Amino acid sequence: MKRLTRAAAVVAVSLLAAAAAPAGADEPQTYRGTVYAVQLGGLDLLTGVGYALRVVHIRTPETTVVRGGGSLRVSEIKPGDVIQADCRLTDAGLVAERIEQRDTR
Amino acid sequence: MRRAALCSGFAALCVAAACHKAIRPGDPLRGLTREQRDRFARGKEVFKHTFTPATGLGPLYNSTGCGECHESPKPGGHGDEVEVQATAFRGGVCDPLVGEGGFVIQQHATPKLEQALGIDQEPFPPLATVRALRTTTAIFARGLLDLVPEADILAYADPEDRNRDGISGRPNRSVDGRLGRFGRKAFVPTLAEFNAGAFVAEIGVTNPAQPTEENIGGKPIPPGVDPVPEPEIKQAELDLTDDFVRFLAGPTPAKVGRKGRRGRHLFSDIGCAACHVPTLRTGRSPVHALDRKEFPAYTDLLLHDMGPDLADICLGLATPSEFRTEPLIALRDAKRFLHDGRASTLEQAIAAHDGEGSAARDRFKALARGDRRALIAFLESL
Repeated sequence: MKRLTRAAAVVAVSLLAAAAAPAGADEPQTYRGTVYAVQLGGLDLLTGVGYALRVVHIRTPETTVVRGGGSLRVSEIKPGDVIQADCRLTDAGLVAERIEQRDTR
Repeated sequence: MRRAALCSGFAALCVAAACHKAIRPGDPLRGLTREQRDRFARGKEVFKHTFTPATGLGPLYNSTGCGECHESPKPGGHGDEVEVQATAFRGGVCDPLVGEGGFVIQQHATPKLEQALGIDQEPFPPLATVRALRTTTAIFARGLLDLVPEADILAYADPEDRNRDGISGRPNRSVDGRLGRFGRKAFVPTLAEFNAGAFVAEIGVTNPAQPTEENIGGKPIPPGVDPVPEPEIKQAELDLTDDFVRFLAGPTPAKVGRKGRRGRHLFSDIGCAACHVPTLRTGRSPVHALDRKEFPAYTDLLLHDMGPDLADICLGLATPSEFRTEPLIALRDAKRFLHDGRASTLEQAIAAHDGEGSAARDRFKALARGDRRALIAFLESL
């Protein structure tokens, strides 16, 4: 019983901590869409809901891991590619940690 | 004894008749629970609600509410509003012009936006290569279309026309690569996304699924023009609207006489049914009324090349001349036909079919006059 109470307290504290944490900075954000444009160090991703489309700018430093039927370089991503980008929101904007090319055929 | 048997037979007939009572336009699906019927009714109120700038309308919009357009003969039905869309198609690549405000070109602006920018509608994107018109279609039975398994849709696809029947059919894809099924170009994968996107693109009402307003010709909304904080409606209102649309039944096709039955056979015989697949079946759903139901759909939800005369915008993978096979649901209440409403009669609509529809069109033209009338009578029963 004592162990259960302690476990419940730990869970409660964890939940409170999670609720108190500011949204944004450390939370991973996943975006799926079509690459709209590619620039040095970044890309514009076409995302959206229904007919309400939006473009999201994502930074792609050298450290970004890119996969798509094998390991790829960031420079191999091109407009028209459908990707999933796992990003973190930083002071400099969205930064991709991992990008996966998706086969849509 | 004999009288009792007759009475019970009559009662059984009455029960059977009640079971087969025709579904009218705007009715909910049969078999909804009391709670689902309640959500349908409450969702209809959100659907019919008129938004104002103080409740989130705009700053650019086509309509002040869902029910302002989808209204005839009942909420969810056809409308006489025609919207404008535009994209750019260059080198085989489709650009939905998101940087310039997106492909839905809103025809109205709120007074504050008019005051700030001196515009009464969204500026037409300078990079657009073509302008398209889109009529307001009835949205009955969309909850059923939403649940047709992907594998069933893909089974109708024949992009290389391997069976050499002149009809290919291929799926469109959303921006993130999922199979599309909603909209005249089958660009949107799910009904929930179509509804959430429509709130923003058509009414300018942001919601938790799309909490950002679109830009205005590539520029941000001027300060003070759109004072309602995002999202402008709550998830609960979005969910209710979604349930209303999801639970809207397709009206029961009218009973047809001998002529109509002949027309139904001809519809298949001359090849219309190759794309306008008469019956589809939903997959599994926790909603009993949507779970594994066969329903009259008259679509394969695929893109078909309809020839250069009908061509307008590209969207996703759909080229300018490719359109999703329009579901022939509630056709009897439609006043205009085809995606842009150019046809005022069903005969005109059939005559405008080209590309993959040309063989069926030609066979229709070659029918005897009575047979053509029979086929039209059948279509008018839907």
